[in-house]
Amino acid sequence: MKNWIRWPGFLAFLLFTVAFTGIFYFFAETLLKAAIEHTGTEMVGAKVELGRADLTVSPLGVELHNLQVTNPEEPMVNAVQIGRIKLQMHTLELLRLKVIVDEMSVEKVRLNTKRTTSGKIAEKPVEEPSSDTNELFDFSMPSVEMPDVKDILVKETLESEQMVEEAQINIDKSKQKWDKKIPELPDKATFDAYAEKLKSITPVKTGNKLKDLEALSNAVDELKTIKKNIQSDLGQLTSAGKELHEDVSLMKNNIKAISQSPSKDIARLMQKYFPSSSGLSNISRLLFGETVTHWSGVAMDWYEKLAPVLLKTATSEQSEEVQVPRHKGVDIKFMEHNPLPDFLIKSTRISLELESGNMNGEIKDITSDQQILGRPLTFLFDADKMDNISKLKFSGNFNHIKPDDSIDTVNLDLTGYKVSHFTVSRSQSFPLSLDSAIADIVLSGELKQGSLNASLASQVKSANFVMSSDKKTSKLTKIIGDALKNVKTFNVKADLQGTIKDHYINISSNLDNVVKKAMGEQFKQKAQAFENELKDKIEKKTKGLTAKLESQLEKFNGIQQNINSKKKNAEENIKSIETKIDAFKNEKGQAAKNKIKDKLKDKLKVMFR
Amino acid sequence: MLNTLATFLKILNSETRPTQISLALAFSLIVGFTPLFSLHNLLVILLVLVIRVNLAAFFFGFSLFSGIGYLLDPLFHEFGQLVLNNESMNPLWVSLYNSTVWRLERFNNTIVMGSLLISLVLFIPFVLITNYLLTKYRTSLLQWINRIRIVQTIKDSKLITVYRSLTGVGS
Repeated sequence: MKNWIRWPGFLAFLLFTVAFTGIFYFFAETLLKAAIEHTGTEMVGAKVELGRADLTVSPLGVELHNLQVTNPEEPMVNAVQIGRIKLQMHTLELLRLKVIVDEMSVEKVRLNTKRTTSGKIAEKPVEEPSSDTNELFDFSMPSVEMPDVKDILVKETLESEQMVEEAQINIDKSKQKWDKKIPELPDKATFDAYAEKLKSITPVKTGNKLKDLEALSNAVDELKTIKKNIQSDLGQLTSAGKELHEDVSLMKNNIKAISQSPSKDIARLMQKYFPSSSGLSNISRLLFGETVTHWSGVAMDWYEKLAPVLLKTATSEQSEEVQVPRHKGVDIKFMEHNPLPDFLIKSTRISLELESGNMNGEIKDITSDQQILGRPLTFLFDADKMDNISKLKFSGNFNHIKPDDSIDTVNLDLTGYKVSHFTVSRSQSFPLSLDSAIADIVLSGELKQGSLNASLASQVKSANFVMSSDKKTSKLTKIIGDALKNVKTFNVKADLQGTIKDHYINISSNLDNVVKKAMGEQFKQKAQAFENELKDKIEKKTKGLTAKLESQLEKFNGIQQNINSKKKNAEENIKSIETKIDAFKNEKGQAAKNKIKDKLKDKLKVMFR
Repeated sequence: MLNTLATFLKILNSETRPTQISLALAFSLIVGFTPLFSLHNLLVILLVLVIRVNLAAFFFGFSLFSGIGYLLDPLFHEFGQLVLNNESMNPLWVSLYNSTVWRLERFNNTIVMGSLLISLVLFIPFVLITNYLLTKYRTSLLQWINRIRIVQTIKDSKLITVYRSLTGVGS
């Protein structure tokens, strides 16, 4: 047995284990740093860098220093820079492959700090802003100068003209159709032939009563056959007449629609070349839409990036079940006596160092399994000693305890926010900025089972609008700019509905009324004159075209009359046939009676002989 | 490839007892089939070092069975899933799941469970069969090969002597 034991092997094992643990511990900090940078970069889509990672064994903890997260849209700017992150883990739970942290502190958090090197990663394609957004908010102010109607009518395709063309095509098609169809219908020769045949049908009487009766029956049958043929011809004529009537009605309706179409053309051209004051009533959307869309986009972008980490949704779990990575297998979960999520940070205390002052907050229950924990993620940030904000409260609740019934809510209450040099519109034709103002902003948003519903209400006072004037600004821009200069208080409301990917933003403001009023009578009068001229010219043009079409319709009246006269002819033929049949039937009845009388007479003679 | 074959032949033809070789190969089967960084492999390595088994055979077997294990991955996953989802064994899995050591062992992973069970089931039959084959090889085949004239000629040739001196094979 002694031969089987190799004691130096035990020593070698101990040395191997110690060496392995030592090497692992030696490189652990470097490995952790690399893992954080790699995972973070993958997640954000721009460089995530860590200054240093320190590990402590007893108690088991991690300390991260100088974490920089690049803003993917601005590679020379860090979206977030964190001075220090400190956390301690439950050692026993870590052996059970669970990361449980009672408290984590995140200190010296700064936003939008400058980077010394670019944080762009080569593989990540830069996403172009969607064209929809650009089109939506890139606007040019209309001019109050009256555009030339003649020029407009030359370059614009009118809907009424297109309708005339379509109507003409329809008329031509109908003409071709009826030119082909008319010869196929029964004509005068057909009815003349019937008349000839009718005349020729006369029963030949021989004096033999039996034969006479047979001749009468044959004549009636012949008449009935002709009647049937004429009825079939009449059917053809009737259906043709009906079809023609329908075609003509359609063509008439087309012409009627053409006469009504100028009003549509006028409305469209007015909107395009001379938007009315009501057309500019949604100017608040144009002014604040870009800002609201930008910030809602930023918020949703970060939500999409962080949600898979902070909240493990049911869908991501399902996809893991489907895809089994090669050589990794699947970890099957069993019932635990004291269930705990795989990852949990019970409390995260965050201190932000912003330009205008410090802000503190706490995020509770960051976990991968809210279903197991039974508590939602909640957060609360507040500040009341900031330079440009009187009071700020930002709170939220991400509830995914029941994945099929998830609700995420956020609330922001900002009081006394001092706005300075805020660019309202970057448009060259409308360079408006808010030099200074004080705003109270209330925001509330809810994402319930993927359905987004958010509202923002802002009350602005002590506003000081500035319109930079240059050669490109139009007269109307100056009028609106002057009107806005007098505005000291206003409100802006924005409602957002839809989903994270596809949503609609509705923006309204009482600035709309100010703009509308500023446009005043001068705009209205010019618009009216333009509309009248446009109306006059378009109507003249379309009237001539419709008259031409109407004259072409007259040809179809002739076809209708032709069909009607043939129908009359056929009906008359049928009538005369019916009269003749009645006459033959009477004659046949009389002959039959006479035959019976003769038979009776013969029988009586035999009886009294 | 030639080196591997030479190593294998060297192991077969060495003075080591067949049991030492077959045990080493059986241990390497466990380490090769199952994920390397598993708790049970630490125990296997301890046994390999403490029990006097042929280390060369162990490393040779490890490289061989790692490759085979990679190919058998889907089978291990399926088998592990079948065992872990077995209703009648659920109380056992629940009790193991609540034990820290077993959680560290990652027994609840389908590949760990599947590969470990298969390699443990194969362990004893593998030792016995390999042992029998090695004994047979040494008592009959090896002696027969050594008796063949051409082998003796090759063995005595200068080329083989130089190769042996350079690589150490057969020395």
